[in-house]
This record gives sequence, structure tokens and C-alpha cells, in this order.
Amino acid sequence: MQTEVLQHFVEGTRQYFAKVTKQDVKIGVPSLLGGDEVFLADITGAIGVAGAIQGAIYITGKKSAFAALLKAYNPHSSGDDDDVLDAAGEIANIIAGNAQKHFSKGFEISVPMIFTGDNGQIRMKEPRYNIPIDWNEHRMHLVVGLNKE
Amino acid sequence: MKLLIVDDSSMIRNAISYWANEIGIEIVGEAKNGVEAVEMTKTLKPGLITLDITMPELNGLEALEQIKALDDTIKVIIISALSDKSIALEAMNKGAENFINKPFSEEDLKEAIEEVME
Repeated sequence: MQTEVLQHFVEGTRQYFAKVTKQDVKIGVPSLLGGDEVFLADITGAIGVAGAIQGAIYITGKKSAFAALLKAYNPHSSGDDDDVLDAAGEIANIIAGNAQKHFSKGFEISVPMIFTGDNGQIRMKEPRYNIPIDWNEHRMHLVVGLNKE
Repeated sequence: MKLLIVDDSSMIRNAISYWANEIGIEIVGEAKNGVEAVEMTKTLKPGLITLDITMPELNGLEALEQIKALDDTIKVIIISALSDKSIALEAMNKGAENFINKPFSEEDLKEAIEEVME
């Protein structure tokens, strides 16, 4: 199951960046995170998943990365702190929502949750996979932790 | 045409506001959840609403039913990240005039607005 699920997220992330930035993005090979490994950067947007598939996904990166993504989407955006935080949550929402079609009714997503700071923890179902995203000199990470109920 | 924008994301509200304004649409308000959307529909009398689905308090599909019960001549464009086709079908069955998936471009939005205004 995991390879197929991860491929949906890799492809969905690629499509997101293509549509929003109209620029190339490099999606790295997903790697399994160890029990204590945490990937949290300045800003994190997370989505909980419930139903036949359960767990969470989150995207994390530096503030500058989300600010650049926001400007790439709408150059007229204010770019203030609230909008940059909001962008992290909305990107997570879109990537999770776009994945829903692969799971039919058993994939209900939450509203976005946004965290700041790189010293916290997000407890998620194991196994968790880290998918590195390199775009326009920015590195972000998409972390996926989903299981079939 | 008066537009009410409903989305819990400021990134999305700002983009819709800017792009819709460029094609001569008057933005009469912005709501962050379904409850605000229903209340603002009563007071602002929009002719067009862009409506997100996954929102706190009251989701877009529930808000759509209440909005259409208030005034079924209001045109509603659902704009959602949810990609399951049954969601789009449910929205259309509840009276939405159009549906676009997030992420959407400036062109996608303008095309969807022009379609419902024809």
C-alpha cells in the first residue's frame, strides 16, 4: 500500500507546483523516518485524515519558502506574516484534498492546522515518510503518515 | 455582478478578489466559514458566490443548501481541493452552477465566472 500511496502524493505535489508556480520542481525519493526523527522547519501546515485511511500529512519549510510560493501564485498578495502562515496550511489542504480521489469515500480531511517553530513534535501514525521538495532554491518537506484502518 | 468570496484561506480569498476585480466584478464581502457566508448573503445580497467546501463551523455544502434556500437565483461556484468526483456531483445536485478544483489559475477562475454569467 505505502508505495502506491506515496506515489499519489509525489505526483500531487508535482502537479501543485506546476500549476501554482509554473516552474520546475524536484521531488526527491521518499524515505522512511525513524521513530524519533522529526522534520519541522519555521512553518508547518498539517492536515488530519480520517476514515478508511487514517493519519496525517504535513508540509514544512522556511518562512522564505512559503512567502515565495505565495508571491509565485499571486504577485499582488500582501505577503504579510498571516498570509504566509495561511499559505502553508492551504498548500497542505490542497495536496491532501487532491489525493482524495485515489481513496474514494474513505479519506476525510480536516481543516488545516498551522504550527510555527522547529523545536516541536507532531505525533503521527507510523510508518512516516519524508518526501523532499526542492523548488526555486527552497527546500521543503512533505511528511506522510497514513494507514488503512 | 456582486461577488461574495467564501474561503478559510486568505491566500485564496486574496487571489480571487484580485483576479475577479480585474474582470469588472465587484467584491461585496469575504467570509471565512459557512456561518459567515450565510449571514453575509442575507445582508450583502450578492449575485455570485465562490464557495470553498472544507471550512470550520459550517462546511461549504451545508452553507450552499442554506444560501440556495435564501435565494436560489444566486450563482454559486464551488472552489475546492477535494478531488473526489462525488463531491462535485453532490454540489451540483444542491444547486451549484460550477465547480473548480484547487489549485486553480487566474484563467481557471475567470473562465468559471464567465461561464456562470453567460
